[in-house]
Amino acid sequence: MTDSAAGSDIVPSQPAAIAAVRVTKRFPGVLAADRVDFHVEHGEVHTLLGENGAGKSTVAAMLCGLYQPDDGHIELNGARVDLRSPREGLAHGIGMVHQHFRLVDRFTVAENVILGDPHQAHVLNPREIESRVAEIGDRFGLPIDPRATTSDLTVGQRQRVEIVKVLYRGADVLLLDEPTAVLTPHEVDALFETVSAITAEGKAVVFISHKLGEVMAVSDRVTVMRAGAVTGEVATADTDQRHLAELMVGRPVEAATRRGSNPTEAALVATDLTVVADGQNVVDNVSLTVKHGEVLGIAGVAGNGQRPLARALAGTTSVDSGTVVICGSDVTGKGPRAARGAGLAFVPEDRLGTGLVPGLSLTDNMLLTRPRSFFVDRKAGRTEAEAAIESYEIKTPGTEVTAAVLSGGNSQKVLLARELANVGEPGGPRVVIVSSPTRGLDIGAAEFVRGLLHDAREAGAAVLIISEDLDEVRSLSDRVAVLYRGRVALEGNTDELEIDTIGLAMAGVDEGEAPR
Amino acid sequence: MNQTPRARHWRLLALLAAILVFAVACGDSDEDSTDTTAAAADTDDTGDSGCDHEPIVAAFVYIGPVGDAGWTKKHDDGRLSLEEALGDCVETQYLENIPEGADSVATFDRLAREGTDVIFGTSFGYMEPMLEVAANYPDVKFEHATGYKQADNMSNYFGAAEEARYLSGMAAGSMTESNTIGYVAAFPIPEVLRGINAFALGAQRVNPDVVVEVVWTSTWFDPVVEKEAAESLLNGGADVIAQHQDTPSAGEAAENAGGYWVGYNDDMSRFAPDAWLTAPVWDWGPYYVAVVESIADGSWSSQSYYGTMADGLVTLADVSDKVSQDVRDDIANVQGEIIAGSFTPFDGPVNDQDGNAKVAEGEKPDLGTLLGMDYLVEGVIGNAAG
Amino acid sequence: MSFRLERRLEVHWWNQALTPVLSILAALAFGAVFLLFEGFNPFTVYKALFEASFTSKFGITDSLTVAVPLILTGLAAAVVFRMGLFNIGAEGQLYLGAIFAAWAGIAIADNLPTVLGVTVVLIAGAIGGALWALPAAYFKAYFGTSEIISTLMLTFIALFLMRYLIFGSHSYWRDPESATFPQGRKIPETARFELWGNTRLHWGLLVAIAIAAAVWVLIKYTSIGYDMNVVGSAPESARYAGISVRRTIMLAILLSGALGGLAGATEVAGRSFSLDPNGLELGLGFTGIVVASLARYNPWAVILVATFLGGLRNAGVALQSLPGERVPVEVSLMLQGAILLFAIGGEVFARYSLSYSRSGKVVAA
Repeated sequence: MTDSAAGSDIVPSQPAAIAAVRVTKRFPGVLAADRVDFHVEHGEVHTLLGENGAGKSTVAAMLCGLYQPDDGHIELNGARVDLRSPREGLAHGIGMVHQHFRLVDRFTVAENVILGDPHQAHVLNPREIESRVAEIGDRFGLPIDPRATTSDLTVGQRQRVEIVKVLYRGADVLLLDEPTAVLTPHEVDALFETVSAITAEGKAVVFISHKLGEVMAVSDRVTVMRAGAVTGEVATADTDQRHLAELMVGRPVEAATRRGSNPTEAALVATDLTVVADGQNVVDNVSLTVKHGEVLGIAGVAGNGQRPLARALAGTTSVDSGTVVICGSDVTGKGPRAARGAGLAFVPEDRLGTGLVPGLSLTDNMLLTRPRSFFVDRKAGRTEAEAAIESYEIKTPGTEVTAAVLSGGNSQKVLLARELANVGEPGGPRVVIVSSPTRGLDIGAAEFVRGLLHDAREAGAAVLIISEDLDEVRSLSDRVAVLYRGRVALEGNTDELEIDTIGLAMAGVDEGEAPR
Repeated sequence: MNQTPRARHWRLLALLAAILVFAVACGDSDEDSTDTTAAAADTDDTGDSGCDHEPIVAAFVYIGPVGDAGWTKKHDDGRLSLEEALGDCVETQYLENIPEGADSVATFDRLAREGTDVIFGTSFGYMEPMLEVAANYPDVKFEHATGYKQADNMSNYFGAAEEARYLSGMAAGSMTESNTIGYVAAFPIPEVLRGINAFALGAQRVNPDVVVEVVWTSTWFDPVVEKEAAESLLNGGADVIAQHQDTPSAGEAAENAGGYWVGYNDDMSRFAPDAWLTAPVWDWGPYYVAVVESIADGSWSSQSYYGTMADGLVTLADVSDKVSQDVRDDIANVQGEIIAGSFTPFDGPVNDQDGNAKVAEGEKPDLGTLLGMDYLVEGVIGNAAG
Repeated sequence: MSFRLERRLEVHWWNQALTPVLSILAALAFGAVFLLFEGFNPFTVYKALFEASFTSKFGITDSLTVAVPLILTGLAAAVVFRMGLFNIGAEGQLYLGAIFAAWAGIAIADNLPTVLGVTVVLIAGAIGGALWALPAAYFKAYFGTSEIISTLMLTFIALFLMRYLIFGSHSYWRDPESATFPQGRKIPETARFELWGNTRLHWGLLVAIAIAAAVWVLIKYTSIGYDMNVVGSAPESARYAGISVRRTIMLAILLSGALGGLAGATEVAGRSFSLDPNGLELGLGFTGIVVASLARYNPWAVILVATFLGGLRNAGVALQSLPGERVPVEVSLMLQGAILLFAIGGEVFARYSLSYSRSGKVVAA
């Protein structure tokens, strides 16, 4: 029973810290994991790489005890274990750090760390807990004040609390689910240092991600999954991003390249725009200009005013001061219909529930932002939906299914098809605002979407891209602006800005000031 | 097999169950129909043997349930005594809990077209619906209790409850120590005003200082509301409760508060034995027998019947021995005078609440005046307009 | 072993249609057990119930007569419930509709030709119902106040207002000649629906069906219906698209109120011919909620369900006069209650599927 790690490239001197042995998991209609072998050595960072829906989260869920495999089993240090819950997993030394934090805002760091710990004595000694939390922080490069109230912490600090939490319980295997999604570049670096400190003690780390650059930077080995099955296991030393991408997508991938731009006159002009929410300037005196034939990218860590800025520009939220001018018409405070009338197309960050109505058919969704007369012209909607399905290669049973049944990539295509229809042509949109255009899309779909935005620019539209994915912003935009706490912290031509400079601006550090 | 959608199994099971139910239902329904025919044949046989004419089919429509222990129960007692008196010469059925107003039209329609000979409707609110249906079914007789409208095939009937009310007022007036009597009443209509006035006059006869305080409930039948109204009167200082409602629930309130209680419709002493004094009681049986007999012999004609204590339609329940022997003797004497016709409760002088003379000294008001009574007498606290 | 409800990803049309039918069958099966326990032959009872309500000529006309207001209150609930707005005050809106309708009938319709007179009565009823829904609509749209509470409260006020107009005061609505007992003043012949033959069924049925059709067209084919769909399904999408959420909510609740008011007007113009609290306090508005949910908020299905529930109502009386086997009123009420309860319970199974899972894991040796 100790030979289960057999078949790996590396012959281990001791059994794998954790291993999934030919695990299979089915959900109604989906084979989420198909005879997956996955094993992590002590002291190793092993990445589970795959696109959304490839099965990596399902495997991780089985490793930590959230799901039980239908077939196959989990081994810990060579011995078979049957984990019935994450709590049992943790008792066996397997700790999961979720993408969405599970902390109580009103508790202190120390209180959150011991929350739900079955081994915690009923009579608590706060001082002892706090000193242990501080000690763990020191040891693994996770500086954190145990007495701080959680609600006062930044996103990066909260993630540290989550990691401290599993280390406090004595985890030997850490599963990190998309841990960099919410971090600034500097925070990502700090996290990677922590990961090294953890593996240095012989603990194993499972890193779950779809970002190739980070995967290459942090992992020792990579297991790539596609459609529930393992498509390859490689040491990072023996591979490169392009190869990993091919394993993920199943075909060669072309990298998007930016072409030169010919910006003409200003199309979208925001002047001294301020939006107040809950007493705070969530958009603080922002001035922006986007010209026809130009792409401006807005970078920034989530929650720094991107969403209210996009909504203020598109007229779906009220503006407290400042003006928005679209193609010469002042549309400030006149609502989304006026903005659209002036030539705006807006792809919001939430596709289902904002950009698309989940309960309505594709036909009806095509009509959402179109002018309507008393009777709804479904014929026009259906024609448009059919055209979109064909030219965007949308996978759907038909035009009359609800938007809710489509996958993320396909619903984004529907949304873009509607908003970008006739872009640049007379009567079509001339200013395009797109929030998180490729979030959650697989590589192929993301490529397609980027191509569309390029085409829109080529057609003479002014394109504003708002994204938390810095790589994406840099690869698509002619110019980049960084939002930090509602303000424009940095603006310049993409080619003239160093990635470090952008990263510092995202973290709110003035240039010249040293990062912590 | 974990991945098989279990929903499908469940659905299939439900479908099978449904089919099963249907199969059984269809299989059985044939037997049923033979059963009913056999039963119908049986009734026909006995019907033919016991009476020299086709049985008169009489239907009773009640506002409340026959278990209300009051108004509806007394009508149903009347129906039962009708069955007992005429045996196979009458077939009766009753429908209970039929709301008043337009909704009851369908019920009267149904009875009329299903070959009923006479329909008794025992609530005021049936008057217009019965009148409406009566016009479409001239061969069916309609008998409406407590109303005032008539048609060629529709009579109305009621009785002089005020005679017994007067006597019950004497009992109440003798028992109050706070000199305040509470009266839980349904609606401010002449029937009820007449009852309150007669009761107050009777109480004042034995106790000139007594006041009668009235609460309107806007319902004939609502045990909860009736009880709450009685409780509010008791809290307000009343120590005797009287009522013009269909149920004994006001008596329960009096019993709980240690007060006394004058009921209505029936001897309700068992519901509140310690509080019970007496009650005006209806006896509808003789009238129902008379109506059905007149239909059988062809002598029925539309009329407006107003029964009295002398006719036996209205009586007084045995007066509790908590009431002194003197008062009880007095009540018996006055009852004798009423039956003999030498005294009526509204013999003058009668003044209204504002002291205006409504009946002059030595006068006896006629029935028409009584039926249109729209005031409350001196000593009554309450609003005659509701 | 434990049972679990899982949300269905898609609700198929046949599932939607089958569920109410199965629910009703389950209720009848449950009722049968109860009837057996009480010593009745369930098949006799059900047969009588069905005959009395649906197969005899007067049975079906009586059922349809009750169905008229139920169609309208069912539509009143359907138009808003499908948006996730819970106007449960159709009962009160019906009373106000009746008050307005009776007023219009007495005050205006006298000198008009019948078609016009009835039209005026119906419009007045719709206005009355809409006005009564207005405060709830306004507070919901502008302050987010729970429409469930406000519409319910308004229902009680409407109830007491109607009783006051007839029983508590000598109002315009009260018949001045009803000396002995307060009654509503009759509306003139020109304000009444014509009855069909010697039945109690009136032309209000056609009006109700026409309005169901109109509601269907409105929901399905017009921009108003489209906006209502968007606001109900995803208010953020509505904001994004520039559809006024407030105005749409106001419009929907007012429309619902108007439909409830129309139900009151058809009762006045077709059944009671006066403001008749006794004849109106039948819970028609509340039953409309049941009608709508059984009909899955589909206007056409509302007509069918209203007729079914109308028949069920009539059946209560019929069961009391069942030859040989008198079913007491309590039993027939229980039976009606069971059917409604199962019908609503069925909703759960249309949206969710029942599954079971074994807890306790088999560990291989």
